[in-house]
Amino acid sequence: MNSIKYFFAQSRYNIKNAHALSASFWTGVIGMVLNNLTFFIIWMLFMQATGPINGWTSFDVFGMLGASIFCYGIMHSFFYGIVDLPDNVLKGSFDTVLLSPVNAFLKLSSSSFSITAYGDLLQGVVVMFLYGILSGFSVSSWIFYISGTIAGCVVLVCFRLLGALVAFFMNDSSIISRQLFELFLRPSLYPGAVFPRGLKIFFMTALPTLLTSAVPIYILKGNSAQLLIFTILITLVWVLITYAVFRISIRRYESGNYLR
Amino acid sequence: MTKWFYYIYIIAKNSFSEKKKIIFQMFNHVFFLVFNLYLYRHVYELVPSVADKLPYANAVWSMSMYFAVFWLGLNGIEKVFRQDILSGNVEIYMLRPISYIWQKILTQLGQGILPFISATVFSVSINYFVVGLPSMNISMPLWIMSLILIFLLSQILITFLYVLCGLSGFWLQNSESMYFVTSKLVMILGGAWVPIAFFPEFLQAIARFSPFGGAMALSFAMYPNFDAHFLSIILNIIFWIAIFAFITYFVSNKTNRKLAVNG
Repeated sequence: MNSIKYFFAQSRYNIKNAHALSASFWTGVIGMVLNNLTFFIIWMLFMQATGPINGWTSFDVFGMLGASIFCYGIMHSFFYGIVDLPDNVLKGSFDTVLLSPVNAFLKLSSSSFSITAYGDLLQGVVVMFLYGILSGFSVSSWIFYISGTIAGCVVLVCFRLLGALVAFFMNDSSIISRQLFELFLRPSLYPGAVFPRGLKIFFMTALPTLLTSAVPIYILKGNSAQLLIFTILITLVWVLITYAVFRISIRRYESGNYLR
Repeated sequence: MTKWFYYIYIIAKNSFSEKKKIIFQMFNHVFFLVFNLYLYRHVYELVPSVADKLPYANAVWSMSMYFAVFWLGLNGIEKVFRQDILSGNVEIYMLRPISYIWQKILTQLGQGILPFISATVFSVSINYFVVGLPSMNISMPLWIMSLILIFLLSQILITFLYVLCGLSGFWLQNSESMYFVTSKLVMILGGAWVPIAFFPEFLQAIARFSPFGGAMALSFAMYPNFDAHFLSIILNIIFWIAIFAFITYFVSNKTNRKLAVNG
């Protein structure tokens, strides 16, 4: 319980810290919003050229990107410390995480933040809200959409962490960690409508990148509680795998006796 | 000139020591290439009418060329400038016998040459074996020569674009927002994720005649009607190179006066 309190206190402090330089904060936020608009434009043009695919319209792609951006925003606003893990391990400064009286994962996650990710977070919330309102969501639709997106956030944190844990097995792994994350991220930015069945299953289970983007829309369009349950089960499996790998990895850590 | 090639060679040789990094980068590239091939094949099956805009093989070649060129890393120049400006290290490089801008360009080329060659080999081989060559209205030798010319000119243009983004950091401190805007315009108008043949006519014209589309003109060179646009593509790139060369010269002279040495 103390660890969770610590995590929220640290996150609140991070937001205050980011906002202290308000000009820099808003430049970063607006820059990221413009950056994300690129994907809306690209896929809107694509859908305009192809017309609706498998029942998906450009508005569904809008909702999908909203979920995707939201997941990315959550990950990089509140769990950004994971991204710095390879550097911490390399420099031997991971000691501070291990010696802390709070949970190592929560301590690590909240140790850093990205200003631009708050732009993702804000835009994600606005887009998701607009998608729900303009589609005339019922209560169950809201539950499906939000639950699916939350599962996506959890999976994204798991994969970011799994990629970063490579640092315990390999030297100078920050680039490899980034490459692994890109491998995970890229397919999630394609409209869920264009995935053939086999690829869809692969990207929902073995490399569950679609959970962070298209799956909330699959759940909505199919009005499928079964798919939501399946998504939650897959998420739980990945949480367990990540937990096990995290435990194994930190046992391999050797302090660099870095003097501070 | 020999000195510059030697500089690139030394950096490339050093970067070869990071084999692990290159292997992962290429794994990522191949994975994405195969993913893109598979996904677009499905799109063409679902919506056969898109083949009227651009045949499947040409679409695949167009996007894979964009990503192969990406590995040369010239778009990373802005980040290097930004890091030097923010850390205050920029003055160290200015004391060297080669100008600051050239050092950074040559370093990026040295670091990017191996990933670029590997990515190009993978892209060409995979595309050739999976979809064959793109359908073209011109002969193969002429097409390949045009590709080399467009590649060289477009890389000069892209270098100017990102050098200017980087130089803006002397005024803005953090030039990341400039990079965001430029890179995304290059991404949309260069046909990174969706070929520009899928876009409405007016956007295609903007892509063809803007510096951002010109910087990735290699992807347009994969279109069947490339021969009809060849001259306009080349003239467009040369025009923008001249404009940006002038601006870069003007701005880089101003930066020397703007530099504050921290000691």
